[in-house]
Amino acid sequence: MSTKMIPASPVVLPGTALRSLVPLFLLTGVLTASGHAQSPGYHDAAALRKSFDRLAERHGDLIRITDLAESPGGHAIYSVRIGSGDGIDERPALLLIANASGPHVAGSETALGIASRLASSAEGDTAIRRLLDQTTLYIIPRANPDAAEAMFQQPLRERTWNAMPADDDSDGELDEDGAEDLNGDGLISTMRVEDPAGMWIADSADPVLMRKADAARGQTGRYFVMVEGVDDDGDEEWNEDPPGGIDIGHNFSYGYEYFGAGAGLYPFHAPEARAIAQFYVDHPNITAVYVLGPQNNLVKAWEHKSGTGSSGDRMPLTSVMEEDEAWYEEVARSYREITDNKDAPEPEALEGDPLSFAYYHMGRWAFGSPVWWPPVMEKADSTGEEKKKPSSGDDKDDPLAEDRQALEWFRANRPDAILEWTPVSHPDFPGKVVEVGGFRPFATLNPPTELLDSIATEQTEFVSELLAGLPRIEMRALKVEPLGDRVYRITAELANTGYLPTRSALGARVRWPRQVRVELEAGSGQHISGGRAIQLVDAIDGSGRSRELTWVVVGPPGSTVTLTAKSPVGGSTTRNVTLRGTP
Amino acid sequence: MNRVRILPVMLLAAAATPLAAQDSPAGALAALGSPPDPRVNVAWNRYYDHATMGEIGRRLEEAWPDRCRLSSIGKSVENRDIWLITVTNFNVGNPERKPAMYIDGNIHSNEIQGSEIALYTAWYLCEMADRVPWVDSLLDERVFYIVPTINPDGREHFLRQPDTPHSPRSGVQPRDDDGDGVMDEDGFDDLNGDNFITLMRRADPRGRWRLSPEDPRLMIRAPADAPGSYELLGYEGFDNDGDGLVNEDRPGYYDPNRNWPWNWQPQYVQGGADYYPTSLPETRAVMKFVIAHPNIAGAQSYHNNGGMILRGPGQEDDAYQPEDVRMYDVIGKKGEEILPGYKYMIVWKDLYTVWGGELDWLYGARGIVTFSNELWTDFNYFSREVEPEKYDDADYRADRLLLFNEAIVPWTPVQHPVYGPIEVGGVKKQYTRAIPGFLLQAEAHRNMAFTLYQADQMPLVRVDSIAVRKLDGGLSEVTATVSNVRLVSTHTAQDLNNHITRPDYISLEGGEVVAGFVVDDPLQNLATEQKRNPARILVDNIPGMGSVTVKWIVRGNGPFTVIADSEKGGVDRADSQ
Repeated sequence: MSTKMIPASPVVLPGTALRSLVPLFLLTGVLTASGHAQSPGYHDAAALRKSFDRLAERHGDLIRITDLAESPGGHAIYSVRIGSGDGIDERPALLLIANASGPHVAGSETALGIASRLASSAEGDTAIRRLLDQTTLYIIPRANPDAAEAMFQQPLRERTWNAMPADDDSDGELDEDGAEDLNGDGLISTMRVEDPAGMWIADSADPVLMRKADAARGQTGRYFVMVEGVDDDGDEEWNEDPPGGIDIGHNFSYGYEYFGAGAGLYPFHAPEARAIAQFYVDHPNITAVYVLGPQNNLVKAWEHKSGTGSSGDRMPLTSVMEEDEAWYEEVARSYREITDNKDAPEPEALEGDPLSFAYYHMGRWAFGSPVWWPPVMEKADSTGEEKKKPSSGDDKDDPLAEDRQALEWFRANRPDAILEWTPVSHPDFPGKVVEVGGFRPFATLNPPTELLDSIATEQTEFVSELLAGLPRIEMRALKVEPLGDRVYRITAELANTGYLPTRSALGARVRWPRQVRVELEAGSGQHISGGRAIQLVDAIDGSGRSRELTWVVVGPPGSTVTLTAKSPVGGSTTRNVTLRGTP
Repeated sequence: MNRVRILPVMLLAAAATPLAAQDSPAGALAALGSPPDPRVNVAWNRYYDHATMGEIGRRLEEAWPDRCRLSSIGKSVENRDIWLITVTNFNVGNPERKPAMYIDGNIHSNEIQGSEIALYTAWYLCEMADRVPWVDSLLDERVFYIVPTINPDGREHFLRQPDTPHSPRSGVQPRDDDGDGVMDEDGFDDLNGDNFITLMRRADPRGRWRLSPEDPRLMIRAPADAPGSYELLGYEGFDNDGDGLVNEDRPGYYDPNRNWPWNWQPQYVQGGADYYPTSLPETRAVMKFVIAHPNIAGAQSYHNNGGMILRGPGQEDDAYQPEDVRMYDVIGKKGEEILPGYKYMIVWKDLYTVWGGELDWLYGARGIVTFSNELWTDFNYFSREVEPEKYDDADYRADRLLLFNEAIVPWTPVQHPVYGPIEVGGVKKQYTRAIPGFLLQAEAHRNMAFTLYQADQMPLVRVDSIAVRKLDGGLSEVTATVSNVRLVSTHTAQDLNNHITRPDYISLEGGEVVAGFVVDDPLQNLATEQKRNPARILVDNIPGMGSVTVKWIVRGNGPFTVIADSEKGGVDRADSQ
């Protein structure tokens, strides 16, 4: 089998950037921007599935959809496989996971956009076609459909949890106190109740934002803040046990927070999360993972922290391994170049999320990005008005900095996302001033629909680059030296001409991403006198790094042995070697 | 029906020479501690396979329909039922609401006798009720969920296939141990066909092993400055897959007791962890059952071996709550008295670090008081501590003196496909960890006695007293004290701190409740009002051997009924005078 996919740069220098290895895909016009199947706007579960089904119908040779599980709300969790040619499930693959964090529906739309762009770009003999002939992309486009569905239902409420009933407040009752739309605007927003016992105050600069009063600074609290709704079960807690239970984005095992809100009773309690964990087991060829969600290691790459685990250590790791750090840094650099993403909000912590699980527990190269956030507005020049308003606190430590950033962008681009405080009458608080307001549900995580197209285009470029950067092993400089009559020394340089190492340093410790199995098959009349018939070769770095292997074979001149190197995550290659020559 | 079958036997006994009390079996004097004439006869000197264990459960259910039910909590990888034997007095109270003791065994395939201990417990409880009043009240008050094996596939492998005493520890779901892309392709090979995997040796003047002068079956190391006479070649087997390694990819390999979702860590921290927490169907079946039965207040998971009464934590940083440790200590220390040769130990501190173990999940995630007994200790050979000896070892000595050389396979010549003529021999698989037959029933009874002690110490709520005081205007003040009459609190501190189990309910019926209070200090009558739903007072916890007092102001004169309802402490009700 040929492992040639893209003409690699003839000379590969150490430290060569990821992008320069795969120049083809960065040329404009390689990715077909037209003709893809995506309809504008956000898709509910049924519409999203229909779009993928249609894509699969149109590209039957390239796309296959498989149901993996069913959510408690009755929606399918499914995978979309994109790839053609031989051994689609046995060669290095990228897994793309979207929407584990339920309100992040933009991830699903991006996944659909990537799939449709790749499919249409693969029509005919294109570079993308050749890439998809040699590598595989798996997409799990909607990991938390029960929660995503809330974006398409009235009243609109951001929820992270699936439809599994739960006793969130441990009072023996299930799902007995959810939110209510008190002002009939079709939105569940934030509610504030004026009460001197409350600990919150309105921000002086941006009064739509609420902040905790700092008693030490002489600030007097003025409000209680809670989710819009009434106390259905009369326990003086508001909306503390809404319908549904498990947040898929926090139901994975790395950093899992036991007894946390929406964490479920244990990691993989939710069938959606279990289906993803099992997907790794069933697909040992997943080399790298890209998670679209609130965790982010592409704008700011993961850094190794010394003293947090090295190879001999038997304690849980709390930062990326030192040996892997540089690869993460380079992929992130490349991402920033492609997407122009910057000034990202602080990524969500690694707590039971699918991104940290992919690296720390599954040992795969794992990348994550929210894809979009309200961008920072350009600073006004010296002649203009200073747009950034002074915050009430120290600018650097301003806890509202990200909200302010969003607010500013919404004011200029999407004013309907800001809900000014509006009074409502509330049965639980007679005689008190109760108002609802804040940000429109889903607005901070999901861009306006007109931006989805350009996001999908740049994300497709990045995904293509990840696919092209998957490891690719080749048998380089295969040499046969006759040592005497019928005695031959075979030397092979097993090289990785992809970008990523055949497995990460952590992958080697996790056990599941496999090594490269090298087998020299001797036929009848031949025997292996030195070296091993079967051996396992540990990680080979990318960018052309190699490992030398030798054997001494005794056999008739002109006869042939077969040399095979194979790893589901690293690629495979087979060569026949003829014993020939005289000393 | 079954009584009918018993009757002739009893008549026979009565008609015979008055050898003993009326309930002795015909022609015998009843020994105490054993049912004299069991409805289901079971020999407790052997190890039962999965089908026979199910059959014993079925017969118990048939013979004792009011006491015993057989069901299944799920299926194993190879589609065997994971049997559950529920034992309680089904005629008294609601079995689902009685405080429950969960007992399992055999999570490690080779640690087989936990199943017999568990099965013996079910059998003893059925057969001895009506004879021992203590057992009767235990079954009135408690329910026992007994799962003899939570790893039926592994058990079957150990019973039927050639194995060592230590293999397999894993379940039998195939795994690629050597990372070559093929699963389970290089296991042991029973070279002499005796269904045991023993050691291989080859006579070799350059070898570093010799025969022991005490017992020539035993191999000992040659002194550093003297020649040996044998080379040891590992367990029986050869290189099945031609990769130059012998027996490196056996059936399984993962550790079912490192797969639980509490403090789980992957392979680089915890060997055997498997793909992800709860990746094994057997783990999930047990978890599902335990979560669905919040009345489980105590648990025991039997392992072997070493004579240990283990409690967690398995890992140093996962500290147990001090209030809970005090309860554990009382039960554990009692165990040392019931089980001579056993020591009460903490897993990480006294044994080794375990991430993702079952007992930590039961306590950590569910707040259940859990022990794990490591069954069997070589103390039991001669009822004394075994001192290490230079030329002998306790197992070989016991084999000579007690089993008359039955337990060790003598060295036998065989032809090895690669090594040529060699010998195989050594310890049989049901020796050193499993228990010789003549000691098995005693081990079962003692461990059961410990576990029944634990079961008896589970919380038990009682409505102790109800006082009614008439107030003006047709009102009454009803004060009730509810006690927990056993050692363990209705919520362990782990449970309480993490809100695992709902609060205990104390409810009043028989009048319109105007106000309800938890009485913080009964002597000074200091009380805190519960504003919401005052007819049902929520109590966070009723401590072991402790009580809580509540009171209501009620419109009406009674009579009133007070109901105490605790998930782990059971349900009790009483009427006012």
